[in-house]
Amino acid sequence: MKHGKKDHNSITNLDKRDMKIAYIMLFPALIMLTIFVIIPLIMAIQKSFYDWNFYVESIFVGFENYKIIVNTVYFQKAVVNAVKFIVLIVPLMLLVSFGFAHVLKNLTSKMATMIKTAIYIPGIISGIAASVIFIFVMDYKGGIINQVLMQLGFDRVAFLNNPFWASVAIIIPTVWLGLGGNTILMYAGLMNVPSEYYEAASVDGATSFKQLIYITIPQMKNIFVLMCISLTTGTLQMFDIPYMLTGGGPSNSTLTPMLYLYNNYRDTSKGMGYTIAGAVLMLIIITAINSVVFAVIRSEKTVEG
Amino acid sequence: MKLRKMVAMVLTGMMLILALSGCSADNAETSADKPKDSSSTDTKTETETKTETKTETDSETPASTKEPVTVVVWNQIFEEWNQEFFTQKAEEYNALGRGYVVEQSFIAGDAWTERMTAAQAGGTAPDTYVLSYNGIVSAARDSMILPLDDLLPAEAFNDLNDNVKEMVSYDGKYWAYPQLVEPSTVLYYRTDLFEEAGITKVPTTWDELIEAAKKLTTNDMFGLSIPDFPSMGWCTWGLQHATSGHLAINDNWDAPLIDQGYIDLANFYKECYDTGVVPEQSLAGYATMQDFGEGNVAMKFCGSWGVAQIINDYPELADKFAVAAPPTKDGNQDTVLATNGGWTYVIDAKTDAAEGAADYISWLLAEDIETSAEFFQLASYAKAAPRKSVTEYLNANAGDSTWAETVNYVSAHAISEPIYPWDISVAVALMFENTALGMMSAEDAAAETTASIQAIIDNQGLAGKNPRK
Repeated sequence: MKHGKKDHNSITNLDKRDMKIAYIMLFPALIMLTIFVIIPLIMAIQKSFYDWNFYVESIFVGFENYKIIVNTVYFQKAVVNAVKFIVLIVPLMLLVSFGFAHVLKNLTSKMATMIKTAIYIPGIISGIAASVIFIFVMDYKGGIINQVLMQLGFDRVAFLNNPFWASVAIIIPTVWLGLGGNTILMYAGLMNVPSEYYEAASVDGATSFKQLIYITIPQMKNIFVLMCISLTTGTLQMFDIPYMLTGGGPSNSTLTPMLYLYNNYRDTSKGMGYTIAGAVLMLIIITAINSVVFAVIRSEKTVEG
Repeated sequence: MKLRKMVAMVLTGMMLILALSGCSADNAETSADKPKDSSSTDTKTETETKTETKTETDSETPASTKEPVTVVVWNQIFEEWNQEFFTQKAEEYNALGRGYVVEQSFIAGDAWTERMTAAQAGGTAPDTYVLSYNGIVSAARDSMILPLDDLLPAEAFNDLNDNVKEMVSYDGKYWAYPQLVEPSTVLYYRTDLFEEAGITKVPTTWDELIEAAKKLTTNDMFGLSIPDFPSMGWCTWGLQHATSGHLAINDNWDAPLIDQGYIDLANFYKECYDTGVVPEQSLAGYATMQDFGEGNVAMKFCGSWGVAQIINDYPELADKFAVAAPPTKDGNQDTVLATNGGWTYVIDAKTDAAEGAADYISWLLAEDIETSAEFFQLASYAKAAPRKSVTEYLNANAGDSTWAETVNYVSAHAISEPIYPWDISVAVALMFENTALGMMSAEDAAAETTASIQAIIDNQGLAGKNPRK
């Protein structure tokens, strides 16, 4: 036993050769990561403390850029909007994809494959393309919905000029785009729940609802957590759909932090450090959310179910 | 094992080559942007076209003994005729053999900031480029452009109209040479529809405007198009001044000035919505005449550039429209009616071809009157010339242009664009939007805007920082 343990922990020559190859294989990826992620990140953090100018010496301003961005009413509004979208989109996406996954699970495998393909198709469309599609649907003058409303004798609705409808107009394509991927993820989670649990529960007389509450949901906790993280971070970074559909309006009701930072970057009257500080701030917020959720996962040791 | 090592090495090599080729492709583009020799090839992308004509230098010119210096020019993509004009001018300039070769790129406006920022950060900014009037002061203040006093002859600046001189000046120096001036707001209207509706007087007050719009509104057409809300940040500057006598903050940049004039203007927009004479959602952006050209609206506010758009893109309307000064609250049209915007040429502070850039700017804009005038003739006299001599020439040759007089009138009654931070203009646009859409009363919106502007002033430390004071 002792001998066996020693063998298990020692690195053989074969392992050493494999490790060399592994490092060689990893090297290009590390180089790329360093060039395109790590160095720009370090530079961004550094620049966020400067009144950055390309033509004269940049001035160190400490946390001044952060102070300005945090106190900017439009950035605050954008963060509030992002929270609003998180509250609306994340539960909606969880519910819809969970429902779809349940339907898929109970279908024959041939039918399930067909439906999986069908609902995944929007997932390969870019946000920009999806926005264009929804512009055709919701356009004030020539949009499909308004044409139908007018045929039915109703007045046109300016969907994108009304804060409520503008938010709905953002949420629908966002959910539509993410539905396929999230449903597949849910479906995979559902298929991983051991069927013996359900059989035992049935024998004990548990109803379908009780099985859902006491077996399915607890067993899929990690999937829910994973989806919450990705949906929350994705919503915090939402840019393309509001940019295309509403431009952040009306009355900044769909302005997101990324859209604000983009508009700010294009405002040449402001220093670049201020925009970078906002971007770094968003990075910190997103990293913090991820860290907290991952800490929760680790502490509850639910990985093995 | 040897095979595995070889495979690993090959894969690694391939990935490195891919990575490096990615980098070099970027470099190639950069070098194409600013070639240092005359052997570079032209490239074309969706957003960019290049014009380069290389010529044999004249044997009598001083430059004949050496290679001509390349001057890289970045221009924006506007109308097709505009691009053709500047392409042709660059070719003409290069054919003259003045010792410099112009290499001109046309870049789409929506990609301009990204391209320019990247070029400036990488030290590959063009030698000369177009810049709007309201960008001059911040560029000069941040040492991004060169003063032109010593690069262009004094006569070039003496020939400028006084209001334009002020627009290109900062700290006692000239930092840009103007290409054109265009008032940001005039009123376009369909003469045929006015006649059909029995409207005999062109509206000069807001009440008259709304009454006319009511008569022109049908099931298929709205009577009027007002600016879309995001554009209200800038295209209402003139009306803000016309209504209140000032802009949104005081000259010292330490206090908001949102008063009754702003409330009246917000209520005017609300009335436009409430009466149903404007579409609830803009059918086209402020800067484009698409909704007017396609017959969706009978009257529209737009900048003077819209004239050339109609003539070129909607020729069937060429004899069915007219241009008027924007109506004001009380009908007074001898007041500020708009802002004067437009484009200038500036020289990058890091250029190593400052004299060449100045030579091209001088030849293109400041020397021969007919060369400058040709642009305004192509623009259907819808833009105002910044030079006195060119204005005189155009006045004598405008022929039967019905709108040249109006455009020149509004331009003469226009102020220069404000240079305070854009956030302040956004706050004012939000006030108009919140009022027009019925989200709050104009008074409440004014109070909210006042608080927002004060917060911007405090947060960005603007007090006392007006560069023009």
